[in-house]
Amino acid sequence: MQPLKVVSDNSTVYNSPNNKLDNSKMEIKPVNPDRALDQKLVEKAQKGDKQAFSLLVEKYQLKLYRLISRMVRDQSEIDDIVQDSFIKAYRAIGNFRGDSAFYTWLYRIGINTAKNHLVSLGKRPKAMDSNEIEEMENYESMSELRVSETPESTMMSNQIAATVNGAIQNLPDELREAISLREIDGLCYEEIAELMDCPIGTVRSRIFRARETIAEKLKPLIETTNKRW
Amino acid sequence: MNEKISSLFDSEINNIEVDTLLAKKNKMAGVRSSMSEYQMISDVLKKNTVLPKNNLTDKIMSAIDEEPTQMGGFIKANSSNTAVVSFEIWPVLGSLAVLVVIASTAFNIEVNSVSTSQFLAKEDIPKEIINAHHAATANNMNYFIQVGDSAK
Repeated sequence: MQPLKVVSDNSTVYNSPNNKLDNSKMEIKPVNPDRALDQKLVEKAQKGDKQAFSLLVEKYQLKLYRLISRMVRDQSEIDDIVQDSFIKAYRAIGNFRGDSAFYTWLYRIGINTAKNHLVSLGKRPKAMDSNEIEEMENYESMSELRVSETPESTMMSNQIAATVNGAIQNLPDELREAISLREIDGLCYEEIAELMDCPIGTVRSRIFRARETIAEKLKPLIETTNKRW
Repeated sequence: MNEKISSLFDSEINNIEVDTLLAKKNKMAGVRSSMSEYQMISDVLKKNTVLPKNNLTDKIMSAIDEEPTQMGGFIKANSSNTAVVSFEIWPVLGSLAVLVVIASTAFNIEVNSVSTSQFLAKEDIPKEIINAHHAATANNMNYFIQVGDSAK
């Protein structure tokens, strides 16, 4: 399975002396599959496919939520800001040309929406230096959630974590190893296939089966959560 | 189907599979639900703060359903949202083309009519009539009637 490749992606760079194509010295940087997939979904959304945009919403709503939680603490306010940010992004998606990654563009919209929200409440948004903005745009570092947690939400989060960890322990070795390499070590399918000495299709199947097994254990808990929240 | 969702979550999916997933519009809620569960699992494994499952995506998509559909930079009104002005690129381009044709035709007619009148003035109309025309007032209708009769 080859990750998505976008012809216009700037991450494909050809380096050769005298600026001529030379296959023996050509260096091709790997295409970022995350960015390529986003670009594909953006292009579909630009052509009117709202379902494609819904996948972008699903992919980034939690990351945007974490980003906004660094500026605003109230959960309902964060919900509103995240929703407004996505609506603004949708309205402006026709102007997105892919010069930056979609998430960078989206996060800038989110930060501006949060700032405007704070100004509308008469609060002064915290001034951020370029390092902080860069850190905020690097969504992989957005692991920490800074909202005022209730005892109930803390308990629910702990239960979810315990259920997932318990389910992982009971997974067959090859499934546990595949999902750990993917989620904890952040390896791509190709790298996992090399490490586990198996075809990429097998890696794909193992990761899927691991997720499905864990999700089955989570479902009763999620249903309880939905009733309670 | 679900294996494709798992690959989509990891951005390890090809163009054809993305198209196949998006074509099943009635199953998109299930796709989003699975991705949400996978996100929860991912957060636990990465030791991120885990958020209980929310329905924020559904709320956002309900709001976006009220928005006009994007059409390659242009917008098309949602069938349920008639208040929004709708236009697409082809009717606009078509109208522009018609305007250009009309303007060009009008310009040519004007040029031809000027040259024709100059031709008539030079060769067909007797010199004395032209002199009389210059001497007479232009708004005297009787003069033009007389000129017409004398030409016959």
